[in-house]
Amino acid sequence: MATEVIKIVDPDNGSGTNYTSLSAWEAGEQGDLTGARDEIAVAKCRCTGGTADTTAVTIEGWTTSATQYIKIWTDPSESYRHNGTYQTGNKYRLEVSNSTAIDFNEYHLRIIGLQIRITSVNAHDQVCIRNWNTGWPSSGAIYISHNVIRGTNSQYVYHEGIGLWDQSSTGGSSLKFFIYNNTVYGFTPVAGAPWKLWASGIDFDANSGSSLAYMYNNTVAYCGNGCMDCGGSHVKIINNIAYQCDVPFFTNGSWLSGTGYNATDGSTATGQSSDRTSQTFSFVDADNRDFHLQSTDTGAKGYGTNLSSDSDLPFSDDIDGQDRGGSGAQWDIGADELNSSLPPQLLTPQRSIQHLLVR
Amino acid sequence: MAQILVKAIDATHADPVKDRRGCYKRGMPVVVMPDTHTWGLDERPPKFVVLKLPGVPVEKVKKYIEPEREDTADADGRYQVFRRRLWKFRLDDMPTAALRKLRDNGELIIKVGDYADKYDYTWTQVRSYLRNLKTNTDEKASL
Repeated sequence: MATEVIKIVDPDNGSGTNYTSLSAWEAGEQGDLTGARDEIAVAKCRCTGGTADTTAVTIEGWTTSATQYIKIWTDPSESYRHNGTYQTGNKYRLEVSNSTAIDFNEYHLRIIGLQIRITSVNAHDQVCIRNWNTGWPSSGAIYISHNVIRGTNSQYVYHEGIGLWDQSSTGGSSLKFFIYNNTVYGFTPVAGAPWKLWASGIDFDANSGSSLAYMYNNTVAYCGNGCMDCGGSHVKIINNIAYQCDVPFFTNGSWLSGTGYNATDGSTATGQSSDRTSQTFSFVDADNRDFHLQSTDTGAKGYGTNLSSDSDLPFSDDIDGQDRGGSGAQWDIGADELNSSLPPQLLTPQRSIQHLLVR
Repeated sequence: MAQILVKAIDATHADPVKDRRGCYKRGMPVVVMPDTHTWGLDERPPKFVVLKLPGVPVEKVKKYIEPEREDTADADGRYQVFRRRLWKFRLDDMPTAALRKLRDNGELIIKVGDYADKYDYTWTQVRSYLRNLKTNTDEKASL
């Protein structure tokens, strides 16, 4: 069984720091995890003094497998993970300007609990998490979850939160991208620009390949496009919010079977009867980009489907790491589950009944 | 006010394309940080060495951590990465004294401009070991 080898990444070089940037970690640990190392390479990111990591990261040149993979994360048992909003102070964040932030070409990879931001854009194709490469493999598993991903206004093409594109159409059906519990916002075309600037929150394009993506319980806001399946017929998309997006949900074909329960304030979603269009959401503070749901919300709260036993991507928490309420609960749509740890008397009647049934 | 973290050992991959495009080789600059930056426990020999350039703005040396890109654009107009880095310090061609210092101390202090404190070498000396891998010529630019 592979051993987790944990290295501490801290731009402030606090006690026990191995690397002061994620980029240096990648350079230092790069190698064959499947051979003698038999390793899960873990970058545990910290921010002990409030300094952002400002060097763009490329992840390539590794040898990985399903059990010997790369994991980049903030450990929720420490204090360096965001609270579901983009935070400064002692919260780890990767902030770059005029560049892609994370460009990966390895296919056994997990990116969990980071804050990633592009502060300015000066060219096309500047993406927070990107894989636009030739030679996608036949199999692999990429998990992108619990992240807060933030962009800016752009006059350039393909300024995106998560942008995945199989240029050579070689990705196989056992290559899967699991994108869930993320908040993605601010990938906005400049005023008056056409939506086909492709300023998008989450864009998956398998091209003519066979790889698949699962977009579950993300909140995407203030983007030209919300969630996209540009290849068509490669994405199952469930429980997502697209808020203040010019095109909330877009596919060049059809969404995969099982798609549904997506919500938007726009007039179109994924075409499923369980979708909710033209909704009014009550976020804690959308103006300041806090997309946690308020208890008064009527757009997303309690309208999702429970994915704790999903056949492709079972999970049971939200972006804050809070339990969504167990196997019998009616989930909220979006990255946040309204805090179910509140005592039943403080919950809405519907949630109170759920609470009593589940706990 | 710059320091350059330089990879001191080769990474390798069985796939020659991934090896060229993805793997850091000995002498390739990895990140650039300001003078005041302190390095982590693993950012030293044997994996890395540091070249310190006191007084030189970070922006002036950032070009050394750029990748080498393809000469021609792909069908979508993008210039894909050809090699992990465009520049590489020819560490093994450096004087023995410099190599010994890098091995023992993990760093060299490089004098640039009117820097007046103690130093190991001048930029004019060191740049002649900084190879542009695309043109196969050594750096001639001042900082």
